[in-house]
Amino acid sequence: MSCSNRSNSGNNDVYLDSIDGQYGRLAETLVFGTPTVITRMTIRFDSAETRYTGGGPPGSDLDAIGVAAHEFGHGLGLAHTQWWRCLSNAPTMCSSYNYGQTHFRNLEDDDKSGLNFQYP
Amino acid sequence: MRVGIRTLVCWAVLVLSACQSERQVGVIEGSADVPTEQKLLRVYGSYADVPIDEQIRAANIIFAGTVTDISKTRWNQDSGEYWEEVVKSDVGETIRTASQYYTIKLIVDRAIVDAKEGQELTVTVAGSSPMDPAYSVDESSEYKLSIGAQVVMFVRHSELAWRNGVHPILQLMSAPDRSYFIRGKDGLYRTAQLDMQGGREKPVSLDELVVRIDQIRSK
Repeated sequence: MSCSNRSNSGNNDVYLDSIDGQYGRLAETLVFGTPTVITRMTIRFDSAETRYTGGGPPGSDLDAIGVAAHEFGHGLGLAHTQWWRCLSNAPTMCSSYNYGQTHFRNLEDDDKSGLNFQYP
Repeated sequence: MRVGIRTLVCWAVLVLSACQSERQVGVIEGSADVPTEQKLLRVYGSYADVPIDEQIRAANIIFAGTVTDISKTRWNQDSGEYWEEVVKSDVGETIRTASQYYTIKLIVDRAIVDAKEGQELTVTVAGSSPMDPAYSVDESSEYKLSIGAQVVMFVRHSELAWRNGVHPILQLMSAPDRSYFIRGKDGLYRTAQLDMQGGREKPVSLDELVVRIDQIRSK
């Protein structure tokens, strides 16, 4: 996968906005381009969630850093892993998020393999 | 060695900052067309994973019902078509993009919490519909929602972002395929959600599930 050279300036947007209130959908990423070239992404975080941005345990809040890592993975072209439930040793690209957990901050072997495949 | 968020973000910035994009957007698999040069390739969503007991505790409405309709995916404006718009602020421009949603219509067969028997309910889900051809699920099909399915569902009052403003909705409590129990051929109800230890929830009768709900809600 590579980047195209476009003449127009574009935006990769990351922003807070409403999605569906607390619970439900936490964030979403739209990826634009061609099947083999990503040219742009937008990441929206649901503004209704209570986010934690510190370095310690987030209590029952949403770990903003971990969710951001996950969404940036989508922006790079990674899909969800097929793990049944995203408990403490699950890859960052696991499909759902448990409130209060921070393990999405660090990439696991599955995440790194995906990135290495996309960007050899 | 673990790679941290800083590395990932730097990688993303390096890759994507080298990419320049055009504002007009084409469409997505399985959705309405918008003419363009650049295509929207994929929409990814991340969902809260809420344990069943927490769903029972926090739901505004719980009912046993039958699915009567599941819509296809739409974008969040009245026309249902994709949109995007530039928002200017002190720090620059942001391009807001459309969000996907679909609806599930059900008839209440047995009211459990704040519902009425025979009532028609519409649950709105942010994301792509299981009725879309491109839809894929992580779970086995025995949990997949379809028209005619009998379910026990946990929902709450919420709001769906609209292009201009918000719409009041009934929302699922967790990820779309983990917010309900579905009745199997054996008459028992089972859920794709796992228990707190990561194990499979035991299939239960409707009466057993109602007892569990009553016990949790009465605490």
